[in-house]
Amino acid sequence: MPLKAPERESRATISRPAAVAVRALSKTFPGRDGAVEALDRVSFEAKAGEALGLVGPSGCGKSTLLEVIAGLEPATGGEVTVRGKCVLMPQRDLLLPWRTALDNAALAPQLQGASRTAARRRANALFERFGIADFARARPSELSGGMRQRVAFARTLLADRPVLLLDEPFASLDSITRAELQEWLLAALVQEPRTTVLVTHDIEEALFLCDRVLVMSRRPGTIAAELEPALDRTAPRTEVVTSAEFSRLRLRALEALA
Amino acid sequence: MRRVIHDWGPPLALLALVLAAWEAAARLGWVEDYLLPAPTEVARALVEDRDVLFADAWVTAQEVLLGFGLALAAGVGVAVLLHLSPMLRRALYPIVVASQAVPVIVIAPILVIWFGFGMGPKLMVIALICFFPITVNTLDGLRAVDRDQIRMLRTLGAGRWDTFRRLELPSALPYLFSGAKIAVAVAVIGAVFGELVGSDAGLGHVIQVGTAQLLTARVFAAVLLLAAMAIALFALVAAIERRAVPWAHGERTRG
Repeated sequence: MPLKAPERESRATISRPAAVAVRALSKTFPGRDGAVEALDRVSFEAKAGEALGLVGPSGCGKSTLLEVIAGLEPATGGEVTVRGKCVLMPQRDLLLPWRTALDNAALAPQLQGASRTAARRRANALFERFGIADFARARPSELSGGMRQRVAFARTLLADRPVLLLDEPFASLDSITRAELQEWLLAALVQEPRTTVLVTHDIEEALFLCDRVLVMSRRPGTIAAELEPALDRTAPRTEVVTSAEFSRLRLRALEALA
Repeated sequence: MRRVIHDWGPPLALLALVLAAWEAAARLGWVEDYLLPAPTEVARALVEDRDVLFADAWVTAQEVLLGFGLALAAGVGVAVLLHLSPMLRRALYPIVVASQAVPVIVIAPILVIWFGFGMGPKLMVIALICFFPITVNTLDGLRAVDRDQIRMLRTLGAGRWDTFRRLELPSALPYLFSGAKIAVAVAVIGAVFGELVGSDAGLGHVIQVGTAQLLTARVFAAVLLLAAMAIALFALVAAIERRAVPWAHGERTRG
């Protein structure tokens, strides 16, 4: 879907207040062979308006981290503060099969008390801007994986929360569709600015989409490295991900993961 | 057209063969007429006794529809109650199962003693046997909702009632229809059984009287009408299901 090339404002994020602050967060699950430590004293902040990436291997507790921030799971230790409210977009699109694409997105305002007409109007406006209006009346079973994620993302945005928590939103897509959606997401976030915490196991995805990337270690998860990609986001994706700076950042991330 | 012949040809041909053999057996006098009337005799009974048969069929159809409706309302209501209240579920679920374990054959005569020969006892018998498949299937459907979907709704700000109305109830609909299809198929059996125990109208009554008077062709005609009624009701519920829950059929995800 052709959207305007994204333009990011200057990245003077340091002076901004923290939208999400995580301090010494620990999480243990009771397991069959004793407690499993998923997170070990993780601390970080996401500034308001920032796109923060969390990269780590499978099972490093990234998803758990988001669930604790979203309030779906209680923390074992430490604390989480979120300014305003947050909304979590899970890996699976979880679209309701009996609703059309538009009505699935309209679900978010409806759950906050909007009438069906008002919710549809808002969803429709967003669909128009995102260039997916042609698919508004389709049922989820008629949509491709990429389109389903776009609808799920529209639903997440329509929840009207200042903080977005994205949990591997493109993990189930093939690499071509994933690249397409990354560009689309970048453009969508320029139109609808939010503080974003993106969790992924894909280093490239995090570097391409985020202002700052935290690399997490294996279980129990801790922060192993922090990267600040200084990339030209007005350039096409292929150019960005093949640049020397991008390779350098990827190498550093890989070293931190090893 | 080729498809129609391909799909319907073999069963129709087989049916025609069986009917022909049956007709021959009856005409050639291999079996007595009052034991097995020829298909043409049954057809004649269907036409000649149509006033009696259709009046009684209408009585039975009313019983079936009302009894099924009762069971549908009670079954869905109880399933929703049991789903929303874990306490009630623990208390009532074993009783719901037990209600199915008590044979209707035992209850029906008692119902006739209590409520007489009218429509009441038949409705009770039908509702009793329809209640169980509807309740159990609906309850299963309400509980089979994807946990992740419940969490997703919660993060979007849904309360208990929202979750029920916008997620659990629609998710349970395909299950509800499965239960309703089973129920409507056995409802006709229930109606006939209720009529056999004690009644003055209905196809079960026709069968009982016809058997006593050795009007075998008329009994066969009544059985034919009962089968047609069961098939028609089943097809009706299936048609409503296709319209009400289109997403549950031919669900395919394109890559």
